[in-house]
Amino acid sequence: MCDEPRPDEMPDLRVQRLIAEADLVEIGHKLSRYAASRIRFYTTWWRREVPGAKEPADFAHEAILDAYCGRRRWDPDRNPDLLDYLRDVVESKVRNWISRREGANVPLDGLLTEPEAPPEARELLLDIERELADEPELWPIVRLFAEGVVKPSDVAEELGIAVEEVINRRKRLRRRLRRLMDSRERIEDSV
Amino acid sequence: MRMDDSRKRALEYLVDEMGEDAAGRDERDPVLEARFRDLKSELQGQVRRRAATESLARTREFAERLREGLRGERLKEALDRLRGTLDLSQSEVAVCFRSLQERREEDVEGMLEDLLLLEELSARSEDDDDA
Repeated sequence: MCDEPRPDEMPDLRVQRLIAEADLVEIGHKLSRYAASRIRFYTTWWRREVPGAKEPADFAHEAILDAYCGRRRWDPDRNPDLLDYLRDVVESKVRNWISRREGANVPLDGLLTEPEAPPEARELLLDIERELADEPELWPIVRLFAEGVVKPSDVAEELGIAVEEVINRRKRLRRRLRRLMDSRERIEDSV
Repeated sequence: MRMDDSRKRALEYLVDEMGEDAAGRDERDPVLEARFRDLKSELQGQVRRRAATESLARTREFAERLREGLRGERLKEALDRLRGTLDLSQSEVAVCFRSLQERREEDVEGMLEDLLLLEELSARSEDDDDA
């Protein structure tokens, strides 16, 4: 489980106890869903090739063990939310996995700004911006998504608005994008 | 907006990500449920074993320092000094006190053996619980 950790690498017993006593079934499910979502993000938006040898739950499982064994240092005093911390670990593991697959450290931030971002993704984002011209307050939500800022509390902080307002805008954005997809599909079906 | 398959997939992802329940879909997968329940149980067992091992190590250290302290000091003074410097639980200290009250200084070796045996039995019993 923990491969011969050196004594100085072992986390405090208190940290290990906190992890072992946490609701790992709930956390495991949430982390697995998060890993699946991130893999889907990198394949659909970044057009990355992702091998099938690993399941999303494998990332979740490894993240928990990394924190437990001290390969990743969780400091409960600085970040009491274990799930929040492990999400970052999963994100990092998914990125590393993709990078290793491609044999190099590939940039995976900034769909609008990163030169190596797929041009198709940038085009799609700019198309969305145009489509949202009559509701300009929705565009910043998409822009932040492109920069990797997804968590409602982070979006709220970036935009200087309440989390409830972020949720509200996301709902409107979702409806808008859904309608957009349906209408385009109808047009293409009729051609 | 042109809609090839890759654009459609990217948009579908964005729509899902903006969903109300994007962060908290609640369905439980029985396979994952079992996997993470097993993991939790394994980690809990390891924590118990580590706690017992560390408790035993602390008690050994306490016993060793107690033996040294007894050479030149009165029993009570030695204990009062040592209990503050070692991270012993109340029950561990109580065991030492009881043993010391019941025995004379010349029998301290026997008392130490009792203490260590008690701790080893306790650790073994927790291992058995895990199994």
